[in-house]
Amino acid sequence: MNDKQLEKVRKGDFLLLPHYMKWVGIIPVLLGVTLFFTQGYQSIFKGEVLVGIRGNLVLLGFLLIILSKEKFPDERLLNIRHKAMAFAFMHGMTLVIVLPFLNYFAASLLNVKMVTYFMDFGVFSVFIFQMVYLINYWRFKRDL
Amino acid sequence: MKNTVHVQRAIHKMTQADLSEVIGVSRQTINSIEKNRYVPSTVLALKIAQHFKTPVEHIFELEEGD
Repeated sequence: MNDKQLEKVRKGDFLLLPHYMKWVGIIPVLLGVTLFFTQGYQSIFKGEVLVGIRGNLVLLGFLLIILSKEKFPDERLLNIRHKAMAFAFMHGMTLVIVLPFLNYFAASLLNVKMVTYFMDFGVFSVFIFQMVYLINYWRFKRDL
Repeated sequence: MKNTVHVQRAIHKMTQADLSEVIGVSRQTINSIEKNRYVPSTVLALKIAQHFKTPVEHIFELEEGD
């Protein structure tokens, strides 16, 4: 790594987007959620492609929200961001590992596959990771 | 780690918002430091001490167990 890269890593905010991207991120989330609820009208959207990407739209929106800076970014918020990421990694990974077993039991008991019923497993795993991050971030921001 | 930021702030007749503006952090960060919920970085601790023109160890003090 050269000095410039090291400085960016030291500051820790090299991947963050401007604050307004938080509001931009809400658009794909809303669009994705709308597509979930318009499943019955697939033919209107000539739908398979849109239906295929609706989960990814939600993920993209949440990614923009996660990566945008706060209005007044400072070291405490950066610290909280890192802690929330660590929590999301641990909880997210645990859930992703445990989920196929739950899915299997649900499939055998209720005759329905929880995950594939709603969305693709890969999308669902990333969604879980993002949700755990966001919940922990808001929780830490309030309590720390 | 305990600190006397709120005492220093009172001596200098500053609000949390005033101090946060001078130091360049959010008001919530000053509040968290005062309530011992957040331990500031060395840079931030030095900035606070420099602003109050007092040695950093007069404001920030280690507790047992630290």
